[in-house]
Amino acid sequence: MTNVAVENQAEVAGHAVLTVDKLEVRYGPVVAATDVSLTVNRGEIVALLGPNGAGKTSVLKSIMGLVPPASGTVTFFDGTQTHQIARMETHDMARLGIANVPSAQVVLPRMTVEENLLVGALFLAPNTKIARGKVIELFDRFPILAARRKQFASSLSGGEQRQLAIARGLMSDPKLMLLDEPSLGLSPILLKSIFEMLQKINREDGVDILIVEQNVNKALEISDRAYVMRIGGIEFSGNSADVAEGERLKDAYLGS
Amino acid sequence: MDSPEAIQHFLGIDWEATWRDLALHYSSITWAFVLDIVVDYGVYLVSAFGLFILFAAGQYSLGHAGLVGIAAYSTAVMVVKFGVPFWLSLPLSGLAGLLAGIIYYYLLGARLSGFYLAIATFAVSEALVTLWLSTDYLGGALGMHGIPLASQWHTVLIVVAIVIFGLWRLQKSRFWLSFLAIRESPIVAGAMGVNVAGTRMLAWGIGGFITGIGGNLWAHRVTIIAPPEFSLNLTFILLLGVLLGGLRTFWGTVAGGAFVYFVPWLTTTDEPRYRLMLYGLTIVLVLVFRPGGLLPVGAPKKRTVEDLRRIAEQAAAPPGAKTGGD
Amino acid sequence: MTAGYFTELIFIGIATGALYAIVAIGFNLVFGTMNVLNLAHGATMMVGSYGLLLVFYVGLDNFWLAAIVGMVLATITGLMIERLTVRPLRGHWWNTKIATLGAAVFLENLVQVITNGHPQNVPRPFDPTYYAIFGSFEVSDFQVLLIVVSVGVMLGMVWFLKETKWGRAIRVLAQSPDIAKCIGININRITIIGFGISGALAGLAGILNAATFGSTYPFVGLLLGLKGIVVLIVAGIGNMRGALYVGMVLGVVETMAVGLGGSTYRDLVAYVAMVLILLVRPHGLFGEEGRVVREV
Repeated sequence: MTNVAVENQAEVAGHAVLTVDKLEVRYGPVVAATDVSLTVNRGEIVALLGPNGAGKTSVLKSIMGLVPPASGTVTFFDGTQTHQIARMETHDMARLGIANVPSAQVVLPRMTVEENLLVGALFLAPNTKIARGKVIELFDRFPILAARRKQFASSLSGGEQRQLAIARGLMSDPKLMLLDEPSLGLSPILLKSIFEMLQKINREDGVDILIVEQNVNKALEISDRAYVMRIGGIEFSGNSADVAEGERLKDAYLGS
Repeated sequence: MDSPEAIQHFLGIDWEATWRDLALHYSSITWAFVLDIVVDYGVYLVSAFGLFILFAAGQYSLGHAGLVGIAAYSTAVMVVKFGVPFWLSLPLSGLAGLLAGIIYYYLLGARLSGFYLAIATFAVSEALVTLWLSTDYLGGALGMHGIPLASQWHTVLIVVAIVIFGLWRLQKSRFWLSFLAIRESPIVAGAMGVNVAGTRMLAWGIGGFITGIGGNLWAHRVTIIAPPEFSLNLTFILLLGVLLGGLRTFWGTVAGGAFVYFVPWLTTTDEPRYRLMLYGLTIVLVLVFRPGGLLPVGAPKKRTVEDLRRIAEQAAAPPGAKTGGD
Repeated sequence: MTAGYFTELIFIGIATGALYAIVAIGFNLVFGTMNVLNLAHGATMMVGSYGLLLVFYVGLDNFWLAAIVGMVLATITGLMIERLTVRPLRGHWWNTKIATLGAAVFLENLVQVITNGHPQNVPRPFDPTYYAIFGSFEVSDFQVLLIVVSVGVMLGMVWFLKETKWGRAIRVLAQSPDIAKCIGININRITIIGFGISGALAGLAGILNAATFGSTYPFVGLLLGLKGIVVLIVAGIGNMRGALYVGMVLGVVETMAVGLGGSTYRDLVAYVAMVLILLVRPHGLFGEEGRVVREV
């Protein structure tokens, strides 16, 4: 498994927001991913693809600190300072402006929609008033959620829960958002709207996005670059347009 | 350079008096005294083995004192009320324990696990104490007396040896693998074909049987049994012995039990309160620093999913059949 | 047995149950939300009552001051338990349980050794005045105090969990530790806060218990703690309101049993109730499927 570095204009210019270098993730003695290196540059949406069991989710979790990396470095540039976040505590990472949207256990089931949003900012914003202000802001942007503001999050549909999770991520005014399989369990229509939302967030709010996805087509559509994983390592990477056309993608998924 | 007196009064402590006290303490230990403790240890060990079996199968019971009590009381009833001779009462107590274990299984083990099982067994244990306190046939608060002192060192030695032999065979058998499998992961084990319910029942049965014998020996050792003895303190002491030794092998319980019984005697008088303090502190230290138990070999092997699969396969396969390629 | 006597029993039962409820709520905060079964909660209660005694021992005669000291000591104990037994063993719930048990045994026997084990007399805050209501039965203002305090504790806890920042953090942690971390919650800090509050509540329960019976002893935490666990399980772990209701009902049923059958059966009620619930509806009367249930 070779890691083919991609020559990207922005990368060469040094506007990397997230740099992962030779990351290795283990669960006890089991190696989930090894020698993973990738970058996310300013303004980009980067996709991390690969078949089931390739280790994509493990990589994401490890970047976020939910699973401590066995080795390797992760660097985050927040606009002014560079931080080594590989061994940082997750809650500190959140403070730096990294938001995480998980694939399972997406919302807090026993809290209302409103409260789900509120806690997204409550522990990061300077005071409660500001956090509440952001809630109102986000209800404006997500009218579907606003309509259900007092309902318990567990009563929302799958698509609505994903929206809620993304909205919660936005509550903290993040600079980087990590999403794990946002398309999971969604109908094609919902999928379309979620992905459009992601593009909007990227363009208008200036949030850089790293997205792990099973839905290869959709992911390649909205992303600028993609890395394809296979059995615990990165197989190849490139501009999303190139990856979509190429043969290597099919090989990676169908295996040999 | 320093005079003997100066050395003596070093730091203001009267060392001579201290040595004198310790010498007195140690000299008062005669061989008979040591033998006494060893016999107590042997009796304790059998009941601890019973708990070990339960734990080894993942049945974390916090109410073992109750099971011991059932054994002790049934022994007392047999011997005192019906005049059953000691050697006959032993297997009968074992059977009583077996029965109790199976009841425990049906009542609790089959439906509950983890935390709930632990709390429920504890509650049952305390409830039993209350029950015994109010049952006049069993002597109420005063308990039962008049049990002959049949647990002499040779008897206990033989029984313990037999039990250890049985455990040794058990640990080598494929039942043991089933125990491990359902402890590590009942779901995986079940999926691999291990009869989880049956194995659990077996664990309770065997554990109950051994505890039955243990309780019998105990009753024949203390000759008087009363309800307050079978409560949390006893459970804790049994628990400590098993946990200190780790769950990999029953020899761990042997070592753990030895610690529980012999270490306090090394240090000071027979003050039970100090002993319990020591136990409490010990268990905290052990768990924080060495969750696998005191024995160096006690540290649990890291099991991969492959190991689990292999264990479950072997456990589920009929005896003599070859398992698939590893 | 007159109607007056009957009602009196009920009232005593409610007051007793109120105490159980406070124990259960303190337990609940840590167990229902952080999945930590703090078996040293009972010992912490005992520390609270002995802190009370300590103040009187040094000559200060003020009950309320002593109560505060007792609660502070209990809070400190709770924090130490967190630091020494819970934090190092985070994630291993079984080991944590045993470790807290070990800490409890250690504490109880330590106090036993220090005080030579005799039950100590505890001065009452005020001599209870009995009011005759509805003719022949009497209630004491102390009992009323107990009930008011326990309802207050329950309401306070519900408010804390629902409306305050840290309360919300605890609830988030209960539902998803991962999400909690990702939104900036420092789990260590929250656990400390939870244990501190739980310790304070334990101290309160211990002090109230000592004042009710007029005495305390080193192992007082065992029985009281067990009753608290029973209430928790019957009500459903994590449910604060349920803990209050179930606690009071338990107190009433117990007192009835004693009134009718004699004191030997008092504790049996709790055990039977628990085993029954575990067999029929393990997640408790007010609980939902799954281990951790509604917090409020």
